[in-house]
Amino acid sequence: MKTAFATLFAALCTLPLMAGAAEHHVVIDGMKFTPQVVQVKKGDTIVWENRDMFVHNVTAAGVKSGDLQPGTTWRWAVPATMSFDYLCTLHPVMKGRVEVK
Amino acid sequence: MNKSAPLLLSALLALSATAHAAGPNDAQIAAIVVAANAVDIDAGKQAETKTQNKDVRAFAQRMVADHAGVNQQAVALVQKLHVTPEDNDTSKSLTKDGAATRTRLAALSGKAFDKAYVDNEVTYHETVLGALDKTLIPNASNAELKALLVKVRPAFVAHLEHAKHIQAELK
Repeated sequence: MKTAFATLFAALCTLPLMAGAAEHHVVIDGMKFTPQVVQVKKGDTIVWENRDMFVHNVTAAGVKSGDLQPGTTWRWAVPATMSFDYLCTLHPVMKGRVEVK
Repeated sequence: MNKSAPLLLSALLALSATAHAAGPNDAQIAAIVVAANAVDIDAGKQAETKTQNKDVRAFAQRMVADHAGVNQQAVALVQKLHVTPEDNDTSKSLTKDGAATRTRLAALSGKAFDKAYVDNEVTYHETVLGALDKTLIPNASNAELKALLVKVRPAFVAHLEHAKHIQAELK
């Protein structure tokens, strides 16, 4: 148990250092992106996880996940400091925002 | 205008009335869910072949895909639960009214078809949402069936908003 905690702790401590950037998770479920607004920094990674029973996508100018089947994820590294709104083009009422600080 | 809306509405209102006396059991709810989704899949398939409008086509394609997804989940669940969907007045009315709507829409074309299809989709999703909230979810006794109905509810809300958006565009 102690070893497991120590390993987990070590992993959590070193991962951000190794990557030099944070990872943010956005859950797609119940026809929503949660959190709806994700605050990130340039170089961070955003992971969208489709936990819904429907196909969705993450789409904005220059940002295209393609079809995300239920149970799949999409990782995207934030390349610039420009914030933007995105949507699922299959269900245009589903909207989200990436705020880059 | 939209002749099928009152038919669908009457089927689901009858369902609400029945629910007060004795709500549908899980086997009947399963049949209602499958029938309701099948109706919208068939309506979507018809729209895919008839419409020239890209927004209407994209919406119709989404209805076919999403409602097929719901039915896939529903069928998998009833099989797991060893429940055989039991046809009832509501599921039969839904199927019958769906067929009547398709016959009516088959005679239309162009913008008239698009408007009739989208108007019907707005009414359909509003009515099914009402049935989910007032009858289907409250009467579902199996926890997994209830959970599935709760889980699909946001899809009906999103589809309704999507349909209303296209309805406004078509005006």
